Amino acid sequence: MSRYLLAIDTATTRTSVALLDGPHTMVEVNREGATGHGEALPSLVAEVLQNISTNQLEAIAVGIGPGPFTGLRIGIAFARTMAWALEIKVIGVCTLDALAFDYLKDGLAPFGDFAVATDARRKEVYWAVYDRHGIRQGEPVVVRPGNISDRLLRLPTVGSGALLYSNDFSANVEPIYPSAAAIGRLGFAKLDGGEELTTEPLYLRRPDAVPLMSSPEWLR
Amino acid sequence: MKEPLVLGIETSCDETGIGIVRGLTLLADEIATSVDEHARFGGVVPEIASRAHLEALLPTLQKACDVANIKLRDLDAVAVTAGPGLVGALLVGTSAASALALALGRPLYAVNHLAAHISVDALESGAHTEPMIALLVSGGHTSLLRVSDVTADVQPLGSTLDDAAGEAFDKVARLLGLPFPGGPEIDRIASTGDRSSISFPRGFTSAKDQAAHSLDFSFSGLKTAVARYVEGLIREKRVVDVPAIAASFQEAVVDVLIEKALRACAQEGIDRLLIGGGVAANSRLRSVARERCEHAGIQLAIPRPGLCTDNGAMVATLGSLAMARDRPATALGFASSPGLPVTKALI
Repeated sequence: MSRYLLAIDTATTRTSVALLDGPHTMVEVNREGATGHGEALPSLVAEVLQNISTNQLEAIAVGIGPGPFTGLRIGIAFARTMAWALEIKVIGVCTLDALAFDYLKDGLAPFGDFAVATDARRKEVYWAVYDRHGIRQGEPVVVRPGNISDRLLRLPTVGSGALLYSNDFSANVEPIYPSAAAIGRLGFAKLDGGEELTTEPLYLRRPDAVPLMSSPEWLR
Repeated sequence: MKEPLVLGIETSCDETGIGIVRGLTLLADEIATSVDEHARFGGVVPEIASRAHLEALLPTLQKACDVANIKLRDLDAVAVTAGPGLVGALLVGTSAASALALALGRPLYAVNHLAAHISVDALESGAHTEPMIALLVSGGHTSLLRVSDVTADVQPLGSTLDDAAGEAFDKVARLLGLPFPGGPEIDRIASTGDRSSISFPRGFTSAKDQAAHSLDFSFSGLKTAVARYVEGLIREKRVVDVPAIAASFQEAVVDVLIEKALRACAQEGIDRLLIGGGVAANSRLRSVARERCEHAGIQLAIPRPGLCTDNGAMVATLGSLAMARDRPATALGFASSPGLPVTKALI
Protein backbone atom coordinates (compact mmCIF):
# COMPACT_ATOMS: atom_id res chain seq x y z
CA MET A 1 0.00 0.00 0.00
CA SER A 2 1.22 3.46 -0.86
CA ARG A 3 2.29 5.90 1.83
CA TYR A 4 2.31 9.32 0.18
CA LEU A 5 3.95 12.19 1.99
CA LEU A 6 4.33 15.75 0.71
CA ALA A 7 7.55 17.44 1.85
CA ILE A 8 8.47 21.10 1.55
CA ASP A 9 11.24 23.43 2.63
CA THR A 10 11.37 27.23 2.29
CA ALA A 11 14.05 27.99 4.90
CA THR A 12 16.83 28.88 2.44
CA THR A 13 17.02 30.64 -0.92
CA ARG A 14 15.83 27.38 -2.49
CA THR A 15 12.17 26.38 -2.46
CA SER A 16 12.15 22.59 -2.44
CA VAL A 17 9.11 20.31 -2.78
CA ALA A 18 8.98 16.51 -2.97
CA LEU A 19 6.47 13.69 -3.03
CA LEU A 20 7.57 10.53 -1.27
CA ASP A 21 6.03 7.09 -1.22
CA GLY A 22 7.47 5.69 1.99
CA PRO A 23 11.27 6.06 1.78
CA HIS A 24 11.13 6.32 -2.00
CA THR A 25 11.25 9.83 -3.51
CA MET A 26 8.81 9.88 -6.42
CA VAL A 27 9.62 13.41 -7.51
CA GLU A 28 11.48 16.44 -6.19
CA VAL A 29 11.37 19.91 -7.73
CA ASN A 30 13.34 22.99 -6.73
CA ARG A 31 13.30 26.67 -7.54
CA GLU A 32 16.03 29.16 -6.63
CA GLY A 33 15.48 32.69 -5.37
CA ALA A 34 15.95 34.58 -2.10
CA THR A 35 12.45 36.02 -2.50
CA GLY A 36 9.58 34.45 -4.37
CA HIS A 37 8.95 31.43 -2.11
CA GLY A 38 5.33 32.54 -2.02
CA GLU A 39 4.97 32.34 -5.79
CA ALA A 40 7.10 29.19 -6.17
CA LEU A 41 5.62 26.97 -3.47
CA PRO A 42 1.99 26.53 -4.67
CA SER A 43 3.13 25.92 -8.25
CA LEU A 44 5.74 23.36 -7.21
CA VAL A 45 3.26 21.55 -4.94
CA ALA A 46 0.70 21.42 -7.76
CA GLU A 47 3.43 20.00 -9.98
CA VAL A 48 4.42 17.12 -7.66
CA LEU A 49 0.78 16.29 -6.90
CA GLN A 50 -0.38 16.19 -10.51
CA ASN A 51 -0.67 12.40 -10.62
CA ILE A 52 -2.30 11.80 -7.24
CA SER A 53 -5.29 13.21 -5.41
CA THR A 54 -4.60 15.30 -2.31
CA ASN A 55 -6.90 12.88 -0.46
CA GLN A 56 -4.26 10.16 -0.90
CA LEU A 57 -1.69 12.05 1.18
CA GLU A 58 -0.88 10.47 4.54
CA ALA A 59 1.05 13.43 5.97
CA ILE A 60 2.95 16.61 5.18
CA ALA A 61 6.49 17.35 6.38
CA VAL A 62 7.84 20.89 6.45
CA GLY A 63 11.21 22.46 7.19
CA ILE A 64 10.86 24.64 10.29
CA GLY A 65 14.22 26.34 9.87
CA PRO A 66 16.10 27.99 11.27
CA GLY A 67 15.91 30.35 8.32
CA PRO A 68 14.81 33.82 7.19
CA PHE A 69 11.44 34.58 8.81
CA THR A 70 9.24 35.30 5.81
CA GLY A 71 10.33 32.21 3.89
CA LEU A 72 9.81 30.02 6.96
CA ARG A 73 6.28 31.27 7.48
CA ILE A 74 5.34 30.69 3.84
CA GLY A 75 6.23 27.01 4.12
CA ILE A 76 4.75 26.47 7.58
CA ALA A 77 1.50 28.35 6.85
CA PHE A 78 1.11 26.30 3.69
CA ALA A 79 1.84 22.94 5.33
CA ARG A 80 -0.33 23.57 8.38
CA THR A 81 -3.30 24.76 6.33
CA MET A 82 -3.16 21.97 3.79
CA ALA A 83 -2.85 19.33 6.54
CA TRP A 84 -5.72 20.94 8.45
CA ALA A 85 -7.93 20.93 5.35
CA LEU A 86 -7.11 17.29 4.59
CA GLU A 87 -7.27 16.25 8.26
CA ILE A 88 -3.82 14.66 8.13
CA LYS A 89 -0.68 15.03 10.26
CA VAL A 90 1.86 17.78 9.70
CA ILE A 91 5.44 17.17 10.83
CA GLY A 92 8.06 19.85 11.45
CA VAL A 93 11.66 18.97 10.60
CA CYS A 94 14.74 21.05 11.43
CA THR A 95 16.10 22.27 8.10
CA LEU A 96 19.71 21.82 9.22
CA ASP A 97 18.95 18.15 10.00
CA ALA A 98 17.88 17.70 6.38
CA LEU A 99 21.26 18.98 5.18
CA ALA A 100 22.98 16.63 7.62
CA PHE A 101 20.85 13.73 6.37
CA ASP A 102 21.88 14.35 2.77
CA TYR A 103 25.55 14.60 3.75
CA LEU A 104 25.39 11.17 5.42
CA LYS A 105 23.53 9.53 2.53
CA ASP A 106 22.29 6.76 4.83
CA GLY A 107 25.86 6.01 5.92
CA LEU A 108 28.27 7.34 8.49
CA ALA A 109 30.02 10.69 8.27
CA PRO A 110 33.38 9.88 6.65
CA PHE A 111 35.45 12.14 8.92
CA GLY A 112 33.54 11.91 12.20
CA ASP A 113 31.83 15.01 13.59
CA PHE A 114 30.63 17.61 11.11
CA ALA A 115 28.60 20.83 11.05
CA VAL A 116 25.83 22.49 9.07
CA ALA A 117 25.76 26.24 8.37
CA THR A 118 23.13 28.09 6.32
CA ASP A 119 23.03 31.80 5.49
CA ALA A 120 21.33 33.86 8.21
CA ARG A 121 22.18 37.22 6.55
CA ARG A 122 23.62 40.09 8.65
CA LYS A 123 27.01 38.31 8.52
CA GLU A 124 25.68 35.41 10.60
CA VAL A 125 24.91 31.73 9.97
CA TYR A 126 22.38 29.27 11.35
CA TRP A 127 24.67 26.57 12.66
CA ALA A 128 24.65 23.18 14.40
CA VAL A 129 27.18 20.39 15.03
CA TYR A 130 26.44 16.67 14.39
CA ASP A 131 28.18 13.46 15.38
CA ARG A 132 29.20 10.84 12.80
CA HIS A 133 25.76 9.20 13.05
CA GLY A 134 24.05 12.46 12.17
CA ILE A 135 22.79 13.12 15.70
CA ARG A 136 22.62 16.85 16.34
CA GLN A 137 24.63 18.05 19.34
CA GLY A 138 22.28 20.56 20.95
CA GLU A 139 19.95 23.16 19.51
CA PRO A 140 20.83 25.16 16.36
CA VAL A 141 22.12 28.68 16.96
CA VAL A 142 22.53 31.88 14.96
CA VAL A 143 26.14 33.03 15.17
CA ARG A 144 28.90 34.99 13.45
CA PRO A 145 31.40 32.56 11.91
CA GLY A 146 34.18 34.53 13.65
CA ASN A 147 32.68 33.66 17.03
CA ILE A 148 32.90 29.89 16.44
CA SER A 149 36.00 28.21 17.88
CA ASP A 150 38.78 27.30 15.44
CA ARG A 151 38.36 23.61 16.26
CA LEU A 152 34.68 23.61 15.25
CA LEU A 153 35.31 25.82 12.21
CA ARG A 154 37.67 23.16 10.90
CA LEU A 155 34.95 20.47 10.92
CA PRO A 156 33.60 19.49 7.51
CA THR A 157 30.67 21.90 7.14
CA VAL A 158 27.78 21.65 4.69
CA GLY A 159 25.29 24.31 3.64
CA SER A 160 25.23 27.68 1.91
CA GLY A 161 26.64 29.45 4.99
CA ALA A 162 29.82 27.37 4.84
CA LEU A 163 30.27 28.24 1.18
CA LEU A 164 29.49 31.93 1.71
CA TYR A 165 32.04 32.22 4.53
CA SER A 166 34.60 29.81 3.07
CA ASN A 167 37.44 31.81 4.65
CA ASP A 168 36.08 30.79 8.06
CA PHE A 169 34.74 27.34 7.14
CA SER A 170 37.88 25.96 5.51
CA ALA A 171 36.36 22.49 5.03
CA ASN A 172 33.08 23.44 3.33
CA VAL A 173 31.52 20.49 1.54
CA GLU A 174 28.30 19.64 -0.32
CA PRO A 175 25.32 19.66 -0.19
CA ILE A 176 24.72 23.41 -0.27
CA TYR A 177 20.92 23.40 -0.04
CA PRO A 178 18.46 21.22 1.90
CA SER A 179 16.32 18.84 -0.14
CA ALA A 180 12.62 18.31 0.44
CA ALA A 181 13.30 14.61 -0.06
CA ALA A 182 15.43 14.61 3.11
CA ILE A 183 12.74 16.61 4.95
CA GLY A 184 10.32 13.85 3.90
CA ARG A 185 12.56 10.99 5.05
CA LEU A 186 13.09 12.64 8.44
CA GLY A 187 9.38 13.39 8.61
CA PHE A 188 8.52 9.73 8.18
CA ALA A 189 11.06 8.82 10.88
CA LYS A 190 9.38 11.21 13.33
CA LEU A 191 5.89 10.07 12.36
CA ASP A 192 6.70 6.36 12.73
CA GLY A 193 8.83 6.95 15.83
CA GLY A 194 5.82 8.42 17.59
CA GLU A 195 7.71 11.66 18.27
CA GLU A 196 5.89 14.82 19.22
CA LEU A 197 5.08 16.66 16.01
CA THR A 198 5.54 20.39 16.25
CA THR A 199 5.74 22.92 13.45
CA GLU A 200 6.80 25.90 15.58
CA PRO A 201 9.21 27.94 13.46
CA LEU A 202 12.84 28.12 14.65
CA TYR A 203 13.22 31.89 14.33
CA LEU A 204 16.20 32.10 16.75
CA ARG A 205 15.98 35.90 16.57
CA ARG A 206 13.51 38.30 18.12
CA PRO A 207 11.67 40.88 15.99
CA ASP A 208 13.61 44.13 15.51
CA ALA A 209 11.53 46.75 17.27
CA VAL A 210 12.22 49.43 19.82
CA PRO A 211 9.55 50.26 22.41
CA LEU A 212 8.44 53.88 22.61
CA MET A 213 8.91 56.17 25.54
CA SER A 214 5.90 55.44 27.69
CA SER A 215 4.40 58.93 27.52
CA PRO A 216 5.05 62.36 25.97
CA GLU A 217 7.45 64.69 27.74
CA TRP A 218 4.81 67.04 29.11
CA LEU A 219 3.13 64.16 30.98
CA ARG A 220 6.29 62.89 32.65
CA MET B 1 -28.22 27.09 -8.54
CA LYS B 2 -27.34 27.36 -4.88
CA GLU B 3 -25.40 30.51 -4.06
CA PRO B 4 -21.63 30.00 -3.76
CA LEU B 5 -20.01 29.32 -0.39
CA VAL B 6 -16.82 31.38 -0.15
CA LEU B 7 -14.17 31.59 2.57
CA GLY B 8 -12.07 34.77 2.76
CA ILE B 9 -8.68 35.27 4.42
CA GLU B 10 -7.37 38.71 5.43
CA THR B 11 -3.83 39.18 6.86
CA SER B 12 -2.64 42.47 5.37
CA CYS B 13 -1.91 44.24 8.67
CA ASP B 14 -2.40 43.23 12.31
CA GLU B 15 -5.77 41.46 12.04
CA THR B 16 -6.09 37.79 11.13
CA GLY B 17 -9.59 37.72 9.66
CA ILE B 18 -11.51 34.71 8.36
CA GLY B 19 -14.95 35.30 6.87
CA ILE B 20 -17.42 32.90 5.31
CA VAL B 21 -20.32 33.97 3.10
CA ARG B 22 -22.97 32.16 1.12
CA GLY B 23 -23.77 34.49 -1.75
CA LEU B 24 -24.12 37.76 0.13
CA THR B 25 -25.21 36.22 3.43
CA LEU B 26 -22.59 36.44 6.16
CA LEU B 27 -22.14 33.13 7.99
CA ALA B 28 -18.99 33.82 10.01
CA ASP B 29 -16.56 36.67 10.59
CA GLU B 30 -13.81 35.67 13.01
CA ILE B 31 -10.93 37.96 13.89
CA ALA B 32 -7.75 37.52 15.93
CA THR B 33 -5.77 40.70 16.46
CA SER B 34 -2.20 41.36 17.55
CA VAL B 35 -2.96 45.02 18.31
CA ASP B 36 -2.03 44.71 22.01
CA GLU B 37 1.42 43.42 21.10
CA HIS B 38 2.09 46.56 19.03
CA ALA B 39 0.88 49.08 21.63
CA ARG B 40 4.22 49.56 23.37
CA PHE B 41 5.88 50.29 20.01
CA GLY B 42 3.31 52.98 19.12
CA GLY B 43 2.49 51.37 15.78
CA VAL B 44 2.21 48.04 14.00
CA VAL B 45 5.55 46.18 13.93
CA PRO B 46 5.51 44.08 10.73
CA GLU B 47 7.51 41.14 12.11
CA ILE B 48 5.36 40.91 15.24
CA ALA B 49 2.20 41.05 13.11
CA SER B 50 3.50 38.34 10.78
CA ARG B 51 4.38 35.99 13.65
CA ALA B 52 0.96 36.54 15.18
CA HIS B 53 -0.76 35.73 11.87
CA LEU B 54 0.97 32.36 11.68
CA GLU B 55 -0.10 31.51 15.24
CA ALA B 56 -3.68 32.70 14.82
CA LEU B 57 -4.29 31.24 11.39
CA LEU B 58 -5.56 27.72 12.11
CA PRO B 59 -7.48 28.52 15.30
CA THR B 60 -9.28 31.35 13.48
CA LEU B 61 -10.00 29.18 10.43
CA GLN B 62 -11.40 26.44 12.66
CA LYS B 63 -13.52 28.88 14.63
CA ALA B 64 -14.99 30.42 11.48
CA CYS B 65 -15.93 26.99 10.13
CA ASP B 66 -17.51 26.06 13.47
CA VAL B 67 -19.50 29.30 13.68
CA ALA B 68 -20.67 29.02 10.06
CA ASN B 69 -21.37 25.33 10.67
CA ILE B 70 -19.98 24.30 7.31
CA LYS B 71 -17.87 21.43 6.02
CA LEU B 72 -14.72 22.54 4.19
CA ARG B 73 -15.56 20.29 1.25
CA ASP B 74 -18.74 22.32 0.70
CA LEU B 75 -16.71 25.46 -0.06
CA ASP B 76 -17.00 26.67 -3.65
CA ALA B 77 -14.05 29.06 -3.58
CA VAL B 78 -11.33 30.60 -1.44
CA ALA B 79 -10.57 34.35 -1.49
CA VAL B 80 -7.54 36.09 -0.02
CA THR B 81 -6.12 39.60 0.28
CA ALA B 82 -3.12 39.86 -2.07
CA GLY B 83 -2.36 43.54 -1.28
CA PRO B 84 -1.88 46.31 -0.50
CA GLY B 85 -0.40 45.65 2.94
CA LEU B 86 2.66 44.45 4.84
CA VAL B 87 4.41 41.93 2.63
CA GLY B 88 5.36 39.45 5.37
CA ALA B 89 1.84 39.57 6.76
CA LEU B 90 0.19 39.18 3.35
CA LEU B 91 2.31 36.13 2.56
CA VAL B 92 0.97 34.16 5.53
CA GLY B 93 -2.56 34.59 4.20
CA THR B 94 -1.79 34.00 0.53
CA SER B 95 0.23 30.89 1.34
CA ALA B 96 -2.56 29.47 3.51
CA ALA B 97 -5.20 30.31 0.90
CA SER B 98 -3.18 28.64 -1.85
CA ALA B 99 -2.83 25.52 0.31
CA LEU B 100 -6.55 25.47 1.04
CA ALA B 101 -7.50 25.90 -2.62
CA LEU B 102 -5.06 23.17 -3.67
CA ALA B 103 -6.16 20.76 -0.93
CA LEU B 104 -9.83 21.16 -1.83
CA GLY B 105 -9.40 21.57 -5.59
CA ARG B 106 -11.33 24.84 -5.59
CA PRO B 107 -10.75 28.17 -7.39
CA LEU B 108 -8.80 30.90 -5.64
CA TYR B 109 -9.55 34.62 -5.90
CA ALA B 110 -6.67 36.90 -4.90
CA VAL B 111 -8.28 40.25 -4.20
CA ASN B 112 -7.44 43.87 -3.44
CA HIS B 113 -7.77 44.89 0.21
CA LEU B 114 -9.24 48.29 -0.67
CA ALA B 115 -11.77 46.86 -3.12
CA ALA B 116 -12.73 44.37 -0.38
CA HIS B 117 -13.41 47.27 2.02
CA ILE B 118 -15.81 48.65 -0.60
CA SER B 119 -17.43 45.33 -1.45
CA VAL B 120 -18.39 44.55 2.16
CA ASP B 121 -21.23 47.06 1.75
CA ALA B 122 -22.95 44.44 -0.43
CA LEU B 123 -23.64 42.38 2.72
CA GLU B 124 -25.86 45.21 3.97
CA SER B 125 -26.97 46.95 0.77
CA GLY B 126 -27.24 44.13 -1.79
CA ALA B 127 -25.35 43.14 -4.90
CA HIS B 128 -25.77 46.08 -7.23
CA THR B 129 -24.95 49.38 -5.56
CA GLU B 130 -22.55 50.73 -8.18
CA PRO B 131 -21.86 53.34 -9.40
CA MET B 132 -20.76 54.92 -6.15
CA ILE B 133 -18.10 57.15 -4.68
CA ALA B 134 -16.08 55.40 -1.99
CA LEU B 135 -14.16 57.16 0.76
CA LEU B 136 -11.68 54.71 2.27
CA VAL B 137 -10.09 55.88 5.49
CA SER B 138 -7.79 53.76 7.64
CA GLY B 139 -4.39 53.72 9.30
CA GLY B 140 -2.74 53.01 5.97
CA HIS B 141 -5.03 54.61 3.39
CA THR B 142 -7.09 57.71 2.67
CA SER B 143 -8.61 57.58 -0.79
CA LEU B 144 -11.56 58.83 -2.79
CA LEU B 145 -12.59 56.38 -5.49
CA ARG B 146 -15.11 56.17 -8.27
CA VAL B 147 -16.51 52.64 -8.21
CA SER B 148 -18.27 51.51 -11.40
CA ASP B 149 -17.78 47.80 -10.69
CA VAL B 150 -16.02 46.77 -7.49
CA THR B 151 -14.65 43.62 -9.16
CA ALA B 152 -13.32 45.35 -12.27
CA ASP B 153 -13.51 49.13 -12.42
CA VAL B 154 -12.35 51.24 -9.48
CA GLN B 155 -10.76 54.60 -10.38
CA PRO B 156 -8.82 56.80 -7.94
CA LEU B 157 -10.04 60.42 -7.71
CA GLY B 158 -7.80 61.58 -4.88
CA SER B 159 -5.76 60.38 -1.93
CA THR B 160 -3.58 61.61 0.89
CA LEU B 161 -0.24 63.06 -0.11
CA ASP B 162 1.32 62.44 3.30
CA ASP B 163 -0.20 60.78 6.40
CA ALA B 164 -3.27 58.55 6.24
CA ALA B 165 -6.17 59.81 8.36
CA GLY B 166 -5.81 56.94 10.83
CA GLU B 167 -2.10 57.59 11.09
CA ALA B 168 -2.87 61.20 12.08
CA PHE B 169 -5.17 59.86 14.81
CA ASP B 170 -2.37 57.60 16.10
CA LYS B 171 0.23 60.37 16.08
CA VAL B 172 -2.01 62.94 17.78
CA ALA B 173 -3.07 60.34 20.37
CA ARG B 174 0.58 59.73 21.20
CA LEU B 175 1.11 63.48 21.55
CA LEU B 176 -1.78 63.64 23.99
CA GLY B 177 -0.56 60.67 26.02
CA LEU B 178 -3.32 58.35 24.77
CA PRO B 179 -2.53 54.70 23.98
CA PHE B 180 -2.21 53.03 20.55
CA PRO B 181 -4.32 52.64 18.44
CA GLY B 182 -5.32 56.28 18.68
CA GLY B 183 -8.58 56.23 16.73
CA PRO B 184 -10.91 54.71 19.34
CA GLU B 185 -9.14 56.63 22.15
CA ILE B 186 -9.59 60.02 20.50
CA ASP B 187 -13.18 59.17 19.56
CA ARG B 188 -13.93 58.33 23.21
CA ILE B 189 -12.23 61.30 24.87
CA ALA B 190 -13.41 63.78 22.20
CA SER B 191 -17.02 63.10 23.16
CA THR B 192 -16.40 65.05 26.39
CA GLY B 193 -14.59 67.99 24.73
CA ASP B 194 -15.67 71.16 22.93
CA ARG B 195 -14.97 70.50 19.25
CA SER B 196 -15.20 74.18 18.30
CA SER B 197 -12.75 75.38 20.95
CA ILE B 198 -9.63 75.28 18.76
CA SER B 199 -9.53 76.02 15.05
CA PHE B 200 -7.03 73.57 13.54
CA PRO B 201 -6.10 73.81 9.83
CA ARG B 202 -8.02 71.93 7.14
CA GLY B 203 -5.50 70.55 4.63
CA PHE B 204 -5.93 71.33 0.92
CA THR B 205 -9.08 73.38 1.39
CA SER B 206 -7.66 76.82 0.56
CA ALA B 207 -8.59 78.41 -2.77
CA LYS B 208 -4.98 78.02 -3.92
CA ASP B 209 -4.97 74.24 -3.28
CA GLN B 210 -8.37 73.64 -4.79
CA ALA B 211 -7.10 73.71 -8.35
CA ALA B 212 -4.33 71.14 -7.97
CA HIS B 213 -5.60 69.06 -5.03
CA SER B 214 -9.36 69.34 -5.13
CA LEU B 215 -9.87 65.72 -4.01
CA ASP B 216 -6.52 65.05 -2.31
CA PHE B 217 -5.83 65.10 1.41
CA SER B 218 -3.00 66.21 3.67
CA PHE B 219 -2.92 65.51 7.40
CA SER B 220 0.70 66.08 8.36
CA GLY B 221 0.18 69.85 8.68
CA LEU B 222 -2.74 69.23 11.01
CA LYS B 223 -0.67 66.87 13.14
CA THR B 224 2.11 69.50 13.36
CA ALA B 225 -0.43 72.20 14.25
CA VAL B 226 -1.66 70.09 17.17
CA ALA B 227 1.95 69.51 18.30
CA ARG B 228 2.74 73.27 18.15
CA TYR B 229 -0.46 74.03 20.04
CA VAL B 230 0.41 71.60 22.84
CA GLU B 231 3.99 72.91 23.00
CA GLY B 232 2.64 76.46 23.30
CA LEU B 233 0.45 75.47 26.24
CA ILE B 234 3.37 73.81 28.00
CA ARG B 235 5.63 76.81 27.40
CA GLU B 236 3.03 79.11 28.90
CA LYS B 237 2.47 76.60 31.71
CA ARG B 238 -1.22 76.31 30.87
CA VAL B 239 -3.42 73.25 31.26
CA VAL B 240 -3.45 70.79 28.34
CA ASP B 241 -7.17 70.25 27.81
CA VAL B 242 -6.97 66.82 26.18
CA PRO B 243 -10.72 66.39 25.45
CA ALA B 244 -10.93 69.81 23.74
CA ILE B 245 -7.80 69.23 21.67
CA ALA B 246 -8.92 65.71 20.69
CA ALA B 247 -12.41 66.94 19.75
CA SER B 248 -11.09 69.90 17.73
CA PHE B 249 -8.53 67.73 15.93
CA GLN B 250 -11.16 65.09 15.14
CA GLU B 251 -13.51 67.78 13.86
CA ALA B 252 -10.84 69.07 11.45
CA VAL B 253 -10.24 65.56 10.06
CA VAL B 254 -13.94 64.72 9.73
CA ASP B 255 -14.75 68.09 8.19
CA VAL B 256 -12.19 67.68 5.38
CA LEU B 257 -13.05 64.03 4.73
CA ILE B 258 -16.78 64.64 4.32
CA GLU B 259 -16.41 67.90 2.43
CA LYS B 260 -14.16 66.26 -0.17
CA ALA B 261 -16.31 63.13 -0.40
CA LEU B 262 -19.36 65.25 -1.19
CA ARG B 263 -17.36 67.27 -3.69
CA ALA B 264 -16.40 64.00 -5.42
CA CYS B 265 -20.07 62.99 -5.61
CA ALA B 266 -20.98 66.33 -7.16
CA GLN B 267 -18.05 66.30 -9.58
CA GLU B 268 -18.79 62.75 -10.80
CA GLY B 269 -22.57 63.17 -10.79
CA ILE B 270 -22.98 60.16 -8.48
CA ASP B 271 -25.49 60.27 -5.63
CA ARG B 272 -24.28 57.30 -3.59
CA LEU B 273 -21.40 57.52 -1.09
CA LEU B 274 -19.80 54.61 0.71
CA ILE B 275 -17.43 55.18 3.62
CA GLY B 276 -15.22 52.27 4.66
CA GLY B 277 -11.96 51.44 6.42
CA GLY B 278 -11.09 51.53 10.12
CA VAL B 279 -11.61 55.28 10.56
CA ALA B 280 -15.20 54.84 9.31
CA ALA B 281 -15.86 53.30 12.72
CA ASN B 282 -15.34 56.81 14.23
CA SER B 283 -18.63 57.97 15.75
CA ARG B 284 -18.21 61.65 14.85
CA LEU B 285 -17.37 60.80 11.24
CA ARG B 286 -20.51 58.66 11.03
CA SER B 287 -22.81 61.32 12.43
CA VAL B 288 -21.38 64.21 10.38
CA ALA B 289 -21.56 62.04 7.24
CA ARG B 290 -25.22 61.25 7.93
CA GLU B 291 -26.12 64.92 8.51
CA ARG B 292 -24.34 66.34 5.49
CA CYS B 293 -25.32 63.55 3.08
CA GLU B 294 -28.95 64.01 4.00
CA HIS B 295 -28.58 67.73 3.43
CA ALA B 296 -26.89 67.17 0.06
CA GLY B 297 -29.36 64.51 -1.07
CA ILE B 298 -26.66 61.83 -1.18
CA GLN B 299 -27.49 58.23 -0.31
CA LEU B 300 -24.97 57.18 2.37
CA ALA B 301 -23.70 53.70 3.15
CA ILE B 302 -21.42 53.04 6.11
CA PRO B 303 -21.05 49.39 7.09
CA ARG B 304 -21.46 48.62 10.76
CA PRO B 305 -18.20 49.36 12.66
CA GLY B 306 -17.15 45.69 12.82
CA LEU B 307 -17.19 45.49 9.03
CA CYS B 308 -15.31 48.80 8.59
CA THR B 309 -12.14 47.64 10.34
CA ASP B 310 -10.09 44.90 8.66
CA ASN B 311 -11.93 41.56 8.49
CA GLY B 312 -12.24 38.37 6.49
CA ALA B 313 -15.91 38.86 5.62
CA MET B 314 -15.06 41.64 3.19
CA VAL B 315 -12.58 39.39 1.39
CA ALA B 316 -15.11 36.57 1.14
CA THR B 317 -17.70 39.06 -0.13
CA LEU B 318 -15.46 40.31 -2.93
CA GLY B 319 -14.72 36.69 -3.84
CA SER B 320 -18.44 35.97 -3.93
CA LEU B 321 -19.11 39.01 -6.14
CA ALA B 322 -16.24 37.97 -8.44
CA MET B 323 -17.88 34.56 -8.88
CA ALA B 324 -21.33 36.04 -9.40
CA ARG B 325 -19.92 38.34 -12.08
CA ASP B 326 -17.99 35.53 -13.80
CA ARG B 327 -14.55 36.98 -13.18
CA PRO B 328 -11.67 34.60 -13.87
CA ALA B 329 -10.08 32.92 -10.84
CA THR B 330 -6.45 33.64 -9.95
CA ALA B 331 -3.74 31.28 -11.21
CA LEU B 332 -1.72 29.53 -8.47
CA GLY B 333 1.67 31.09 -7.92
CA PHE B 334 0.45 34.70 -8.07
CA ALA B 335 2.57 37.31 -6.31
CA SER B 336 1.49 39.02 -3.12
CA SER B 337 1.72 42.73 -3.80
CA PRO B 338 2.36 45.18 -0.93
CA GLY B 339 1.76 48.14 -3.25
CA LEU B 340 -1.15 46.69 -5.23
CA PRO B 341 -2.90 49.65 -6.92
CA VAL B 342 -6.59 50.13 -6.18
CA THR B 343 -7.35 49.90 -9.90
CA LYS B 344 -6.52 46.19 -9.73
CA ALA B 345 -9.50 44.76 -7.84
CA LEU B 346 -8.65 41.13 -8.60
CA ILE B 347 -5.36 39.47 -9.54
